[in-house]
Amino acid sequence: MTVEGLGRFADPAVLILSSLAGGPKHGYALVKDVEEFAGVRLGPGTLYGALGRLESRGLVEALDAEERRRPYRLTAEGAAALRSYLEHAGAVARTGLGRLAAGT
Amino acid sequence: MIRPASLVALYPRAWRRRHAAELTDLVDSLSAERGALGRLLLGVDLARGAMDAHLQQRRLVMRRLLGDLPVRHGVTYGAVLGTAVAVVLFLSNVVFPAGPEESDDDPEYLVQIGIAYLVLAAVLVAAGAAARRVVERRGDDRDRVRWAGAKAGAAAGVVLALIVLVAVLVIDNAFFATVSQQHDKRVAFAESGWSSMRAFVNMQILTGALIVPWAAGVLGGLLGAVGGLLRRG
Repeated sequence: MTVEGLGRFADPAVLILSSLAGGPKHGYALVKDVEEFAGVRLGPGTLYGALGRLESRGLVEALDAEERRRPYRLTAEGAAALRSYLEHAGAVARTGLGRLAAGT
Repeated sequence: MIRPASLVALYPRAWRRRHAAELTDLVDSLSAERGALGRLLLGVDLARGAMDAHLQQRRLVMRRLLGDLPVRHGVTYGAVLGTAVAVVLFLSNVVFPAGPEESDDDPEYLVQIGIAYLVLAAVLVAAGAAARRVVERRGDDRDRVRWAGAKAGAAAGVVLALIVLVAVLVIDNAFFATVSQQHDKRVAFAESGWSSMRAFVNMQILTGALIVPWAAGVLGGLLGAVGGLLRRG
């Protein structure tokens, strides 16, 4: 299972998976963490749209709710999908940066 | 000013049952930190999310329906039958149109149309029988076997109706100059009091689109059920 095919939710999905790689988080903690490490403000509708898709693909799972907040955590499949995506993105980034450096 | 969290009510009921509390908590927490514009943007994002949740739910229902073997069987029968009817409609309305004074109510056409309806009914019965045979062979439980014919017939009826409606819409608009010469259309238009025949014809089709697929689904379900019963016998 990969994060491909998530349409407009692909970018939020990667941000959410990256955040959950640091440990389980509920919605508010996720929004704040993503804002801090990526500078992106995820809206609540976007967050839950992406979370729902990730959960249905088995990439994240919901834990028991703590009062009104429900934490989510990365599954083993989610970790593998995130690793594969980031390795590919990293390779693309390295190539692009290398070419930019060679051109200047 | 509307409280952004109240927009959680826009989400589908099943979705809210699971996520409403946590989403409301999140929206309340974020609203408290943002100004008027920020809260407005939260509301817009929530409305968009709610629309997406509804679409997701529809997709899930469709996937579940199409994952059902008798329904898939019915859809195939309906698609083949609908395509055949669309071709016949094109030939009889555009390629070989009736004369300007010929009506569908003329005795020779009544017989042809009657036979065509009987053929359609027979195929819907066959769809029901075939679906029941397939689920029986697969060894499905009794309840699924019992409803297989009706489900296949209903699906075939709906798909058939939708294809025919689209075909009529396309033919009547793309070949308007030809079909507007038909006797029955001219008489109905003259009696309607409308000033645009194209608008009149399209309104009739759209009105049909609200009723015909449901009616075809019910009728197809009954005929499919008959097919299932015949197969059992």
